[in-house]
Amino acid sequence: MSTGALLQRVTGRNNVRVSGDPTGRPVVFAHGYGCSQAMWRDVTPAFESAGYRVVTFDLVGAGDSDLTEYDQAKYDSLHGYADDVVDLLRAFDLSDVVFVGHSVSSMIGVLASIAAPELFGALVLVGPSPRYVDDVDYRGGFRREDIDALLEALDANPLGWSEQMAPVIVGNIDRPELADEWKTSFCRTDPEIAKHFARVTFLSDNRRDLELVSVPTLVVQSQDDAIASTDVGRWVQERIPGSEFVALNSTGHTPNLSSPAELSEHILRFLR
Amino acid sequence: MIEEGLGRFERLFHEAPCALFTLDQHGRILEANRTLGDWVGATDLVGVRLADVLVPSSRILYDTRVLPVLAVGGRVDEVVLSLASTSGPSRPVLLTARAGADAVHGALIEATERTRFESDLVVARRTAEDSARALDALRTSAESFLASSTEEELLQALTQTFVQTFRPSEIAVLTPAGESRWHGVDGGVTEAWAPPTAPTVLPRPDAGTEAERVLAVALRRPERLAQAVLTPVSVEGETIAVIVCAFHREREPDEGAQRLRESIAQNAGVALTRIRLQGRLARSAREDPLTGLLNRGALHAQLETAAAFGRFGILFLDLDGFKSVNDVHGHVAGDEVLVRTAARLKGAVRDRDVVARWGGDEFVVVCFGVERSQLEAVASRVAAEVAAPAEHPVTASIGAVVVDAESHPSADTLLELADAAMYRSKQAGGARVTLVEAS
Repeated sequence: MSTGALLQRVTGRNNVRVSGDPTGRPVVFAHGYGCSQAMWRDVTPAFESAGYRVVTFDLVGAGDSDLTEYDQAKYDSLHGYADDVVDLLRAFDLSDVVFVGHSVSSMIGVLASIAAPELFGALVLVGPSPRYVDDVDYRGGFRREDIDALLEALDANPLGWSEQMAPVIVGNIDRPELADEWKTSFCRTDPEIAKHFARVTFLSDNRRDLELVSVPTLVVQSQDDAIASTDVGRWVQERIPGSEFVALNSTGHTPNLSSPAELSEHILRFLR
Repeated sequence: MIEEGLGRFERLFHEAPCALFTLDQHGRILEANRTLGDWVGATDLVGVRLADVLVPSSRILYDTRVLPVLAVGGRVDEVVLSLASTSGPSRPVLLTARAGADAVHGALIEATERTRFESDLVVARRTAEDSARALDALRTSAESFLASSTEEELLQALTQTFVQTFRPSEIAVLTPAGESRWHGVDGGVTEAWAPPTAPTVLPRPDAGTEAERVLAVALRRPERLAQAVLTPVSVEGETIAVIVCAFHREREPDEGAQRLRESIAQNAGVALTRIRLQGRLARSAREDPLTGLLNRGALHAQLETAAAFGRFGILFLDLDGFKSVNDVHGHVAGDEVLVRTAARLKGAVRDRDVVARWGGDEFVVVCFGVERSQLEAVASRVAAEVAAPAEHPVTASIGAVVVDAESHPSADTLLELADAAMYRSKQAGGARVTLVEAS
């Protein structure tokens, strides 16, 4: 595939958006399970102001990605998503990339950086977990039954996945144009895809991949993260050679929504 | 119990038959009514994250889905969650919430009955969908197997069925490479290896094991392998292929999938038996059963098309001394001579020539694209081979006819000419070649 064709395909497939300084160092933000690139709306402005080239995108199956590209076999493991990330970096001719992955996308970034280390300059893993289900000598925080119950719960909650959300936007009163941009499709997905992605996200085991990471890495950990505990964050940091760990004051699994300023500050400091 | 002195609105708040609460931007409870406290068995919930009073599965849904939707979209409606309780079972509730400027206002309504009813429906629907999928896989695979007329086509149909039914990350077909070795991808060949005799699920193999080495040859991305399912395809006790479904994510044991794999593989085995049988029938219609040479009918077909190849020639052979072998040593010895002669004829002619048994101890060789001198050379080689020393030695009387590109004699005419030429060799004492030209 020619570079132009790849660019077009990737842009449509992953609903890629680019902002900030076109000559700046590229920072690619990848969202986690359950939502879309809208998760980063309060984080990206700080990077645009700091002179970075900001890239956000939707994982295939989420947000405004091209749902017809959802191939169950390809996306049956995080490798499929990681291949998309590598495609994206190549299509946009990005190098020395800072990849900021939230939740499941932190592992997607780990895999992508192993597949094409030459494209990456740094990894920032926000709330990472290489395995959510407990194992011998490992506490992921969940039992297999919990994940089965989650899949049941998704069956019981078909509403709201595909339905258009009412355009009530909070925050960002100072940037109303952003609100309009996000409100169309955020967090929308197909219920079947949502279930399969839940299976892939919460039943994957990428523990053995961590030691293969060769780019400078920052692990960012919130307080009281019920999805990825501080112990798991530490576990990840200890296994990625030369990585750093930072604990936020923010609580919960989504500091990109609850404490965007604190999160941005720590990432920018790591990159300096 | 509501203490004295509560105002009208406080009672409305605390005694409401649903849980009411407000959250800060981190999802921590700012205020909650007593109903929520009663449901989760806590007296003071201020500062607690709502996520922390949910069962683990609901906590995941809440943190990954509900909170982002609330933060970005401002509202959620009727999300089914389960409250954890310190005493007694968990309590299914419906969450409806709105995000205000600095807080989230929410309500939980008990949904135990509704959820139980719906979960029965969900289970029934899933069971029905699973059966429909399995049936569909069996039906479409049976159709594509029936449409396959060669082993290659069948393997292709089988692979396609596995791709659609089990959605592996990668699929590979190992085929025999001789000496118990197997062809993998990109020209690779495995070491000698005995495949399983029934569909087998393999976990990611340890480094240095036989399974690891075999799968490294079978797959394009062995480094991503989390689980492999090997399905042997067998016919008449012989494994003609092993289908490898590679998954990049480990799966729980699935009895339904295993049964389906076995059924599909079994159907494929039946289809293969039919394909082999058809092949044999087609061959038996063309072959002489004793010698495996072409029979008279098939020879006729060859002769009708021979003219299209330009010049060609035929040899008509009759064995000298065959009758006495039969008379003296019996039919078994006679049959041995015929089989031996058939093998010697095949060895003496060129690769593209055709050898047929005309009947009894008569044979016909068709030589494509030959000049007279070349036909003579083939004829002498054939004569010498047939007469080579053996237990019951025989020789051959041969009639040779060379046909130029312009003349198009019929098969019958040609055979009559050749038969007459052979008869002259026989009359002259046998063990010789008589060559004529068709005009």
